[in-house]
Amino acid sequence: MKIKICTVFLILLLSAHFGVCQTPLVIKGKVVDITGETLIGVVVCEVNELDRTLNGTLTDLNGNFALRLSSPENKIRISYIGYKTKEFLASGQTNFEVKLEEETVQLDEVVITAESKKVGGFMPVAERDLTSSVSTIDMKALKEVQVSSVGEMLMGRASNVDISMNSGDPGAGMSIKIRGTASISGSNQPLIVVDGVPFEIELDKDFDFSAVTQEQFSGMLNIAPEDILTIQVLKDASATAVWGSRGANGVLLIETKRGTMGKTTFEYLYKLSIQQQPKSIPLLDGDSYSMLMMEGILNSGSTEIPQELSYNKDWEEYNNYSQNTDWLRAITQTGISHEHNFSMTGGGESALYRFSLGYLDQDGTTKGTSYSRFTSRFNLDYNVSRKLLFSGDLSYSYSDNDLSFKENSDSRSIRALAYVKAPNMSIYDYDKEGNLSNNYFSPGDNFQGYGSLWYNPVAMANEATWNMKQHRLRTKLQLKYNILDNLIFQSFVAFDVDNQLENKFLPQVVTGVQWTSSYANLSSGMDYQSSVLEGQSQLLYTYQKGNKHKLTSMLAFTLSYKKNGWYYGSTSNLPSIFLRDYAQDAPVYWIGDGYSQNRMAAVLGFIHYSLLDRYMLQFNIRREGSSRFGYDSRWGTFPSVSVGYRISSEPFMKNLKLINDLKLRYSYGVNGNQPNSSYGYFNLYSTGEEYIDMPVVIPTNLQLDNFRWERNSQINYGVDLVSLNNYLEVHFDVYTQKSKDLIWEKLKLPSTSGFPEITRNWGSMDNKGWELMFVTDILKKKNFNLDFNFNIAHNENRITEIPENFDFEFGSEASNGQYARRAQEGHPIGTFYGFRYLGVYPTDVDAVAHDEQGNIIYNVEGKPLYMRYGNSDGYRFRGGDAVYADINHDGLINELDIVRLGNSNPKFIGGFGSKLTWNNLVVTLFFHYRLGQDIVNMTKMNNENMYYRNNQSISVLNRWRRQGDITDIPRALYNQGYNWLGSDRFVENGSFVRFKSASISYNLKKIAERIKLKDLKFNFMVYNLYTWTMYTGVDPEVPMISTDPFFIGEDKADTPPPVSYIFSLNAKF
Amino acid sequence: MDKWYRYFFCLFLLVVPGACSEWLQVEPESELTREEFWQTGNDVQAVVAGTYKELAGCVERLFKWGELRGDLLVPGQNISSDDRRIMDGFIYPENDLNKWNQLYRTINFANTVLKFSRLVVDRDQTFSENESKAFEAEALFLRSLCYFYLVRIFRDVPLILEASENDAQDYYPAVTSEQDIFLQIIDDLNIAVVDLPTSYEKTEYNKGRATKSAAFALMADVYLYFEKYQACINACNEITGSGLYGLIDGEDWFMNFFPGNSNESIFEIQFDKDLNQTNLLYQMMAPSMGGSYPDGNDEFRVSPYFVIEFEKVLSDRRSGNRTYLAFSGGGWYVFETTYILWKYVGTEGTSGMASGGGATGYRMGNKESDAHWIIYRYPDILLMKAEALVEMGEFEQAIELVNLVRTRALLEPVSGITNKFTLEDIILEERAKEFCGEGKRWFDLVRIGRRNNNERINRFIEILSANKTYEEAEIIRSKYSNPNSWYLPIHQDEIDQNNKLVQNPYYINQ
Repeated sequence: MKIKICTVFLILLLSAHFGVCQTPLVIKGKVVDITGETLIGVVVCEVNELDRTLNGTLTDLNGNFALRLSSPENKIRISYIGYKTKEFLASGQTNFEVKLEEETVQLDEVVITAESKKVGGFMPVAERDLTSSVSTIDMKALKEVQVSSVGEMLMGRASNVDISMNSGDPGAGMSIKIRGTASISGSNQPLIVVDGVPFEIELDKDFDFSAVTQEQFSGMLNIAPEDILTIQVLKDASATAVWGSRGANGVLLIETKRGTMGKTTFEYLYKLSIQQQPKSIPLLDGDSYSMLMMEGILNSGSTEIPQELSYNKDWEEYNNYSQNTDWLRAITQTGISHEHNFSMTGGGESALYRFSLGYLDQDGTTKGTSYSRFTSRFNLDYNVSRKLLFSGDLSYSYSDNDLSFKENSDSRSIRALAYVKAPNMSIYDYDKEGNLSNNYFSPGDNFQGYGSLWYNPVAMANEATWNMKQHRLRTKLQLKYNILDNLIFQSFVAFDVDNQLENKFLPQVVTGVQWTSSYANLSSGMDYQSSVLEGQSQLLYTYQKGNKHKLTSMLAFTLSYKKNGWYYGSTSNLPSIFLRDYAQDAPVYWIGDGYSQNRMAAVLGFIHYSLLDRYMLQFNIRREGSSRFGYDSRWGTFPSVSVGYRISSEPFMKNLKLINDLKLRYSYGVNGNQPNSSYGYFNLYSTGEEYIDMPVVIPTNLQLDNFRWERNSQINYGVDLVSLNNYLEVHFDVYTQKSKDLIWEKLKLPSTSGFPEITRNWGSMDNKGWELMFVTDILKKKNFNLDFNFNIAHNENRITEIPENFDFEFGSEASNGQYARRAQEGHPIGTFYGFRYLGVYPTDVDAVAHDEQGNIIYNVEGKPLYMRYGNSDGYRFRGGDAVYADINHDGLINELDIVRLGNSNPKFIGGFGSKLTWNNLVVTLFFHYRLGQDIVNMTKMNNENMYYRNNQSISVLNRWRRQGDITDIPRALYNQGYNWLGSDRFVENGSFVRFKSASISYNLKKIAERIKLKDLKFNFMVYNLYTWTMYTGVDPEVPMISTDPFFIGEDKADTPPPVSYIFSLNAKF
Repeated sequence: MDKWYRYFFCLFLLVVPGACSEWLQVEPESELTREEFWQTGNDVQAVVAGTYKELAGCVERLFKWGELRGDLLVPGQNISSDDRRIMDGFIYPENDLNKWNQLYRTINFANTVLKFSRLVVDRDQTFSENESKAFEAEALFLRSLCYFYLVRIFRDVPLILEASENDAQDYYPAVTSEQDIFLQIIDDLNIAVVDLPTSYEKTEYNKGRATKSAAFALMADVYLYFEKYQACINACNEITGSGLYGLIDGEDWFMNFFPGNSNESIFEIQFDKDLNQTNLLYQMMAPSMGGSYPDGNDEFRVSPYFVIEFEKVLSDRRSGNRTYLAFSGGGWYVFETTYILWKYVGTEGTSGMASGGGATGYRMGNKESDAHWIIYRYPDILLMKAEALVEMGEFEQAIELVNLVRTRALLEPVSGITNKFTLEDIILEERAKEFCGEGKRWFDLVRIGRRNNNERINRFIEILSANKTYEEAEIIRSKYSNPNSWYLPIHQDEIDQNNKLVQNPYYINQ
């Protein structure tokens, strides 16, 4: 628990007497406890009136000490861990016997009651006086939730905070969205602030992702959940304003645990978790697969059956192509993880410390994936004097992640490959005599295809490597100086060094390519370094006159300086699969590097005034400058104002016993957003390839003279209510957010300009919504407690203005596998369009055009008009083909028949849970939900299209096979036709309620006492227990990474969220 | 690191933000800003080179624009669907061949040179005004060439003469009429022919960069297209009178294409595989053998009807094994004899070669394709002049010029022709045989079709509908009877992104 050291010292000071003796003298003495036993190693020191320690000594083996005082006016302080500190003046006396009393009070409990929570990082306002929208996540409830990442812990806990994991693989990143999408460019991820210092979880946008997969880098918040003390979510502009543009998408404030005064406490936690992969979509076996493929080829008018499908026993490869392989099972394993956490907390009056070490070792449910993480953290607070406090924080984490191999963003992951790989193929190679060998069966080229889309997934899981290592070192040094009692100067400097190393190796046994191919034994490495310097100085002034007037004000200056550099290299044709280092004497496949830096500075003024504990007014203004803008538009000014009114403090409310506290809030604020690229506003020239032998330099982008800050303004109305004798706590907020001058980073430009795109401020967007959260204690008995918490949020996004010349269609031509997406005024981002699917034509003659009355349309020659795709020369639909609604009855299925199909934005998101405490037993349940969103089930689309040579799900067994078949699954048609256009066939309601976690923990107090432990707790938890949903795909919890205006929610999940069983043991001593 | 104390100073002093505005100026390290660039003559040359480079990137498009709608080529096995639609006459605004972005990029680079070269004269003592003028003339030449392609392909297009530099400019232009663009091109070329050098210090520059003759050749072409025949003849005379170029021997005709840069070449875009400067011409034309050599993509072939036409006179030195190579079989599939456009695929043109996959003399392979793209060579000047002379009524002089080209190819000279249209047709056929696959055919046909207010539109349609099925021919007749259809539509993306652009009326409601 956080300690307010100053308060403690004030109390100590008041209890001290002041003497007037002037002569320096030596004092002697002995320190004993109540029983008279001598105490060894007791700190005896001389302190001046500012509590600065001037001189000190320790008691010897007999408890004796001697100390020379520099001034008789100074106090003598005697302190010993676990005992109450004594302070007194010598008052002429030179020999003392000091009795120390044992400390009986639990110090951390004292602190809780003594201190009111401070909210908003460096905004020193008590939660009670807040006028802005802030959710605090109840860490007491989370104590029982034993997960390995902060993201998992937070899911569904705070209202309108939508968190989703990017995949079920260990170490996977997460995406967080607070109050919907506010910006069209860049990320909508909130700012994460750890102990007052922004924590970067994304790679710099200048990074060239051409060679690496972006999603793996995002969201690596390497903090052990055990080190976290509180998490606060700042939502409205008034609350986020102090954090400036980086906090425009909301702020997550994480505070880590610090030292507490008292005897050193050791805490150890062990966690064992077992992860099980849930059942996936059932796929065809080898026999039904070959049948399907042959049917598809024949239907497409070809008679060329590849011999891989023809089961010809005389063929030498017969055995390799006549198996029934379950590729998914072959790459799946049970994931086991162990986690150890050890911490040491303690401190005396001058120094408080907390030290923690954590180690996690996790194996994923896909073979070859694992994650190990080492975290360490050291927080120290040192009181140099009553006026001067110094704190130093140091944290270092190291993670080593073996990822599921993926060659590049476009290729398939191992699990995706296992879905499509031909099940008639063998994992291992059979020789001509039919004997199974140990070699992987990895033909470089077979009937399914060649290249990264068709590797042997088992070989890939076992032999290919994709490893990411991350070192992250963060330090923060802070000084706090109390100039006057109510005027404080505070300043910190923080460094954050992030180093990520990637290594990839793709051995020839996986690809099966020729040894001379540039894909043979391809090895690559990447080194990314980023270092951030954050600095901040602030001057705090508080004024209080009775209970009437309370004023808090602050002036702060912050700056941030970030540097990035990366290097990437890859070489191919390494001579052996055991030589995996890319820095070899081998042909260079690709090589590149980059470097960028950017800087930010801001001045911030802040005033909070509270009158009669009833009327509250807060005003802040931030002037922020960023190096990403040109000289003239560099600075932006962002004001915000908020007011609060505590009705419950009005005299007329005093009689209403039902209401304990009732506060109304209003806030209005403006925040800014800056572009992602560091040098976007320059007119840059870079070199290209030569012409003849003349070196080439060309301009690469347009100078931005009119480019300015994107401005997001937000109005927030809120109510906080505590009622029914503190049984019920309700928070309700309604907000409207308007984003103006939206930054479009890649706005298409007419190519007559000579440039494909430009960055420009253009258009606007709205987000409107509300959020409700309540916590209630259903039962509050002495040994029996039952509480219930619930949160729900609704957000509506709307594009209100789009650029005049903006091509609002994305992929104007609807084609197989594509949904039309349009960014349109009045519609939200995430709307998608497509065809209406009406089933399957039973016969060829059914595929004719109908007019509005349902009559067949005939052409001039009196023949019925057949349905075609696109134009009158397009593909003609036949029996077994998908029927799409011909909206305009022209006999053609084309863009004109596209209708609105759905919206990827959930109507409601939230969570609810309950906690039951009965003596030493604690049971918690937690549910998380999203309701009312439409999902494009890409997994289904890929598993039922029967268009490629991919393996398909068993639902295609119901496909149309011959004239007259009535079914709703079209025929197999290899590489032809339009049976899987983006249509409502693959759109599903993605509403779900997920039983996120259930835990039971028991505190063995009696046993603990017997074996001299302070605390001993056992906990068992099940995570991702069950999902109630109508959705038929793998995972309805689709990541909402909405970085472009054409984003739609597509479920492409390979790995459904695994069910985890977690057992943990926690001991304090 | 010596600056660190300043940051701390900033930190601890709560300085006013103004002082930090300078600190917020961060310049990129791996790229140059405009202020850092444009300091020396070398900088100017580098952007001029960039302009050529950009044009070199357009070569595949120039080929397709000039040939796909003509009658000399037919689709190959692996032609892309967009290209096939163009060849089949189904043209929609979404077709990627309608994209003009690369040409406008080239134009923008040329405009950039024109804007900044002068400024460098003041900054670099060693960079003289004349040097600057020569570079500007190269830029003017390249810009004119691009606009000439644009007006022939799209007719009315936006005329951009300002370099795109910053976001304050208007990037949403309306179209300019082809007449105004014609006037602009002529103005620019009149400056270029004065300032351009007659020759450079090396052959690659002589052929691969703009010279006076290149500018005159372009000028002649532009005048011929816009029916200014005397001006065309004058421009041609500048070249024929320079004595720098001449027809090479008929036996060596293939040397125009391999190794290239022959004595008759006036302007050709240079490629060199040793410098990684390659194009896709080989890949588009070479046969597909299932991955084995020759590893082409078989997208376009020479039309068998054209081959029949060619082989009517067996002595023609440009026919079999030179302009085309008969190819049959190969790999695991069998098909009837096809004709490879050999100019960009082969290394030699001897009649002794076997046909097909077993033939010798293929170039290195699709990744090393470095065939030059010839824009003007000497016979083109002779035939352009002949065409202009025909329009002026000077039949005798015209026949003389045509016979120069014919006899070089070991054909019998023609004589005694008094019908203007017959002579036009002879020149047209001569051009087809001389320049097959060099991106000229479609423009030659359109020139015939446009002349004297579409006087010979029926001949234009007749040529294009020959050798087609009845239904195909019907479609072609109805389509090409509207001259708007001779120009490609503006790509749909451009229309969507710029409200001021108006689509060619032929394609509205398509």
